[in-house]
Amino acid sequence: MTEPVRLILAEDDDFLRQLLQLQCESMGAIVAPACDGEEAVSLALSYEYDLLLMDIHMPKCDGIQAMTLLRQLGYDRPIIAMSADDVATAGFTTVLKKPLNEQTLQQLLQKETHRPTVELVISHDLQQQFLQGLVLARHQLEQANHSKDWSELQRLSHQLKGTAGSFGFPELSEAADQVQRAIQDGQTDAALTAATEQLLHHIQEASHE
Amino acid sequence: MSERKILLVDDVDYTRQLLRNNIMAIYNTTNLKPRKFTFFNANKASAAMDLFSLQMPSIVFLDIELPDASGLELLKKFKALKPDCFIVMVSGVSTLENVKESIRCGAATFIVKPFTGDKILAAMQLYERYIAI
Repeated sequence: MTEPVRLILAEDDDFLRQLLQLQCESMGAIVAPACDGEEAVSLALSYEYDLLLMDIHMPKCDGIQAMTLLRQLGYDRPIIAMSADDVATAGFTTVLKKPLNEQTLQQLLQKETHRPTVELVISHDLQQQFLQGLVLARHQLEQANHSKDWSELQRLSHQLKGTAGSFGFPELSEAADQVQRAIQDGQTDAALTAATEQLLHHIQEASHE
Repeated sequence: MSERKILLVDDVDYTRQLLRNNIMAIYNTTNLKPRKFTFFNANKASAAMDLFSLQMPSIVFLDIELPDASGLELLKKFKALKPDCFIVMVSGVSTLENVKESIRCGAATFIVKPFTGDKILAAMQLYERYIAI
């Protein structure tokens, strides 16, 4: 069985976005919705999606700016514009005229296929080094939390956020991000400690895998 | 086959190793033209600056958030020393501001952590297009 196409759907009109999302999903696609160009760029740079279907007039960063930036960064996957107006096509794979009908969407999704992903190579030795690093990180986090050394806590959680995701522990990365955000938002000591304990829990779980 | 120098700047040792292993794997397993690379490592901005001046690498993977300085400041210095250096900024924060500022300071592209094979491949494909011009 072929894998479903994964697409980013960037459209600032809530009603239209939901309608298009439902239509694409009913045709078997996996859809990541985005409300503006900034979200679309961020999702595209995750390289988890096969194509970007994007409105032109959007807040924060419009469709043309988003496409130009992505192309400048070397993003070579299809970017399809949707517009009621005439739009210069350079940089876009195709420009579709709004309103889009189901047949146009069907044709688009039939043309695209899911790209095989290039797996990240993580040797056993490197994975072991990461897991050993977690033991040290746990002690350092406990110490920083105990002595209320928030700048050290910030440094440690920042480092963990960046590494854990790459080594296959997205939940641990997310927990580290929560600690970082709690510090940045100036939350209470109790809230910081709670976030840190959650992070320590994820470290323990990762260490047992 | 001419040898290319790559400088990896990140404060975490195993992240640099992960990058190195995957750059080599991508050249061995995809249709990119085979190349010989020599890797140099720096865990902070001061060491990166010294290594850069000495080795004048063709490619740099540069983390924005370094313990002793901003990667963006380092990026400007690298580009002043070697304007044609291909610099990949790396960050856990993918705000548009971050990306645009990196490009404005001379970065060729931007990788948002966590690393994946596709992100590293996209950066190296862009490098191949960059040197082909």
